[in-house]
Amino acid sequence: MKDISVCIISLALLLATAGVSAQTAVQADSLLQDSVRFPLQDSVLVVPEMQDTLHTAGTLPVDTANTPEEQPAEKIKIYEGTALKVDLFNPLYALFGSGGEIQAYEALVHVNLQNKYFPTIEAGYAHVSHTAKNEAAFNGGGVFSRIGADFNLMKKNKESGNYFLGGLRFGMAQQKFSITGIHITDGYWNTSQTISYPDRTKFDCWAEVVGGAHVKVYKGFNMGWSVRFKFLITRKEEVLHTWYIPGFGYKANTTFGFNYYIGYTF
Amino acid sequence: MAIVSVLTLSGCTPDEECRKENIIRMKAMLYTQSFNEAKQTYTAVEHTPDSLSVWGVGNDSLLYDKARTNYVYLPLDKNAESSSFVLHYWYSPDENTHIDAQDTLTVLYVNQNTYISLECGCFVYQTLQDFRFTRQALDSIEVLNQQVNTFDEGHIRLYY
Repeated sequence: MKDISVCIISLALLLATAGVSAQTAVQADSLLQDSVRFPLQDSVLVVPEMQDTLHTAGTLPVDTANTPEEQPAEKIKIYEGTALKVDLFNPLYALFGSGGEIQAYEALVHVNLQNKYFPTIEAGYAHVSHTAKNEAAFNGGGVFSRIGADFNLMKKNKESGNYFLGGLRFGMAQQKFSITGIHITDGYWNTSQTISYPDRTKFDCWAEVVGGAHVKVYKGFNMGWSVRFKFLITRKEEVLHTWYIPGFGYKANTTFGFNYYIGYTF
Repeated sequence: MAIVSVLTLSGCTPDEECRKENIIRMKAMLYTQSFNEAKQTYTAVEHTPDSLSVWGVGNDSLLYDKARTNYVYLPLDKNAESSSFVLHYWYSPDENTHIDAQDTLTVLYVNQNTYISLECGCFVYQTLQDFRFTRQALDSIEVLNQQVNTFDEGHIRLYY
């Protein structure tokens, strides 16, 4: 329960910070758009009687039929699509990297707003079966999810469908696990016993800084990758601590993660 | 290059070796009571027998073999709630007296299995509960610290 409270407080703080940042960004963006759309609106004053003189003098022709006042304001399209992406790296790592100890699957959905903001939800499942050299075994599995947003870091060609992304995530995972085969051996007295901790449940949460790329391949199909630096929030050591956290990785205060995605944009 | 680095970092598994200090043993220090006539009080003085041998009851392996020391580390059985030791000493309180004595000390305790990590397993800490001993040379026992853990500190004083 303590872990859940810590996570809720962390999420609230993160959302509050994100809210303030987003508001500031939108205000700045709105100011920028106004100045780009009508750069000469206030600075050029054309008097009809002077038009001929201006033409003769070689100044830019002024289209009186389409003065800025009459020109309809350019509509900014907010919603640019939704992408569904599936991670290929972790299933492949399970097959070739972890010797089948770890099976992790995840997918994400992000919404493209103005080719600039990408609110994102990620979800997945992971299962671990690991036996240490001393024959102690950790078996656990559970679901995880991450929420957050990415921001397009490219300043040019925003409409190309290719993005360099940077963002933040808040991750949560709940898993059931058991630790078995812990040998307690006394070398002097030549006694031993084996103990186990079955059927335990653990809730963890963490924060991530994410960087990556999203590339349009063909029509709606896309691919991309992301690198993550993760900070575990529920760090406090408990009586039993987990060896692996779904969606986070091996139990440590900080760790890295990598994803390689293929997906489709609707 | 960056991607290769990330792949490497992603694949880092936790350390497979237990690197935590896991020596847990009770430290017994040997003392005598010395009477200070001026102050009319007893003071504790460290006692070093000429020779001391220690072994666990029912165990052929010697913990100390004719050692000259004023303290001994006694390993309490992690899988039992009592451990007995034989302490055999030779010493001369004065020029004309030579003592060859043997005492049996039984320690009663409670084990606490503390999970450390998958690699380290459980450390077993003990809480000292009671002592039973013969009095051939041993006079009394003073408990300094009931908790036996990885800290190297004196737990009991054996008075002769």
